[in-house]
Amino acid sequence: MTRYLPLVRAALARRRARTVLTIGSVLIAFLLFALLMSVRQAFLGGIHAVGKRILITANVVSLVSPLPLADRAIIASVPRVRRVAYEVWFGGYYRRTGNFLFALAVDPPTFVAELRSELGLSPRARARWIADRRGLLVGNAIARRFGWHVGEVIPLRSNIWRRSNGTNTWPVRVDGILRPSEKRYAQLALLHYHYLSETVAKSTGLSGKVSLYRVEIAHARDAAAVSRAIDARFANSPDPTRTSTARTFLLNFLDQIADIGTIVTAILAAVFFTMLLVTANTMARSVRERTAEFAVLRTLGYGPGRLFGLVVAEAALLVGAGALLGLLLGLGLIVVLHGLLATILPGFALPPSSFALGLALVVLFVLASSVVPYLQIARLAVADALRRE
Amino acid sequence: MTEIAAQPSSEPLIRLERVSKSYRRGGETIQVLDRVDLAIPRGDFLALMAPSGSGKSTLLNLLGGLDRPDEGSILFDGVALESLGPRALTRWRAIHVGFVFQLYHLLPVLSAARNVELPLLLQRLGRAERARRVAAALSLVGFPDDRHTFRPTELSGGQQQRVAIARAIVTNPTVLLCDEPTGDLDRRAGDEILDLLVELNRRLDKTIVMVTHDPHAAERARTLVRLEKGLVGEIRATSS
Ligand SMILES: Nc1ncnc2c1ncn2[C@@H]1O[C@H](COP(=O)(O)OP(=O)(O)OP(=O)(O)O)[C@@H](O)[C@H]1O
Ligand SMILES: [Mg+2]
Repeated sequence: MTRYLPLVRAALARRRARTVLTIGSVLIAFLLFALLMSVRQAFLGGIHAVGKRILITANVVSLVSPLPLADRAIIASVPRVRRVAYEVWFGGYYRRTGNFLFALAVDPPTFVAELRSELGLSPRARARWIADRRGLLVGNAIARRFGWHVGEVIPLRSNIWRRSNGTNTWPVRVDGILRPSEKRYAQLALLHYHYLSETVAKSTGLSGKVSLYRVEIAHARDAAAVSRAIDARFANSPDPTRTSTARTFLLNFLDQIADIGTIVTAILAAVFFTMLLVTANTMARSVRERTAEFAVLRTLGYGPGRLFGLVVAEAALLVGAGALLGLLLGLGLIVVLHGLLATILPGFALPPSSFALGLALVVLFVLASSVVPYLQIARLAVADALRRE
Repeated sequence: MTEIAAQPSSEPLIRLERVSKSYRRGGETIQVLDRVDLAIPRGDFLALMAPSGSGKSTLLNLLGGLDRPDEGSILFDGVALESLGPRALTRWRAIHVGFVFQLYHLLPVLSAARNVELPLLLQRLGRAERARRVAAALSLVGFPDDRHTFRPTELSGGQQQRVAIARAIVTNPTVLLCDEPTGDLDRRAGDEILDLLVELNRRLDKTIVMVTHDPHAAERARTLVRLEKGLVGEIRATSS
């Protein structure tokens, strides 16, 4: 089929400016596709990894409203609950508020037990941290970023909590560095809950309270029943709870920021729809302008099927070239942005599934922009087209 | 190509039997061809002469299978064109028919050689073989060697028509159908094209059907047919 290539190339060279603009619009569409799919991946990509056997119990009012620490024993007594950990969102930063880190105040024994396998933490570092009231565990991404080493004392600051001494600085010692298999844990900083709750100002109302409970259950299939059972225990308490799987919890949490998935889909739909109009218009015009040429090819013995094949090849070259350039440019940008956004959006990368989706979109757009040309070719009245010239 | 002596054959190459064609425009029907009978022997160079608008192109399009008659039959070498489906007709045209038009109808974006190559792309031929046949066809029509890569817009009318004729004969079709091949050329260039057609007919025994309203062009053919009011009128052998 390569013998038809000069013919297809010549057709595209016929109106260079239009060809370039069309390829440009496809390029931009696929560049946006690459970038937005990477943003989506950064937000939602980790969600599959979230354990299905972990439930989150939080205050029904809002995430900001804490729950009493006393609830822990009650949750632990619910059948089929294995372990209960708890945490407080610390709102940590280092020196400047821009140096944000994902800091949680946790109960060391239970928390590490829950996440041990995923954190890449040596048993010695773990023991050291559990024993050290002012100890801190940090992900390797943070340690690298701020140049922290084990044994160093860090003035960790909170943008949520104040101490009873009036400052918002908690000195902590780095007891261990996490080398997690999953990127999202590389941003983590873990300090002791009791250190925080015993030093926090009374006015904060935090002492004796936690932000949420992480509940481990034996089987994922029990998630709904156990969630209902936990919430039933607190239905008539001053602080009713809402329990959901960690996955649902994370999705709801992200929804409160923005419905990333829907936004990405909506933007891409608009972009691709515009792109489709441009390519379809280009193809329809190009074929209409060449009506006489197609008629001549018919006199030479070209059938309608072959002419349509040439047009599809033309559309494939247009869309394919634009898509390839857009994806390559996108990948280049993603590599650059990945470095720049490493701390804000870890996991900003184009997932392999997006390439398959991109390829499917190319095929779809080639076919869609060939519909009008198909009709034009099928209806071509050769004798009339030759006379019109 | 070798010269072959014309086979004496009673059966004509093309036979039109009571062929009618009309067009409908608005409410009225224009009868362009009315029960036309015509026999074209193999190896003939036939000029079909008629005034403008009398149905010459219509007849040629029917002969080449670009259009279908309302009634009647066109037998080509024993095959009734009306019995062929669209696909078969396309294939038949690729094998048997070479078209030459008044306005050359070359593809403007392709070089002379690429234009001549177009019909060869439909055959299973290697690149080198295609190039060889293109060069042979262009040399046969007297197209200058150093212009093969020129675009149609960079060529004179006479040169463009030579390229168009090369494109029409490169597959060695059974018949050449020429629609006013000299209509857009000045006298000298027109005469050269007519010389070429005569040559193709005499030396290579190509069957040629040429429609024209120019008596000077018609004189060069072997046979002259006049088409009048949708009917075939006088038929006579020309002095050529
Ligand atoms: N598709 C069509 N619809 C309506 N009328 C048509 C159509 N095609 C041809 N005609 C008419 O049929 C008649 C014959 O047309 P045709 O092109 O065959 O004439 P011609 O002898 O080739 O003329 P010319 O010398 O100008 O090329 C003309 O009156 C023309 O207007
Ligand atoms: Mg005509």
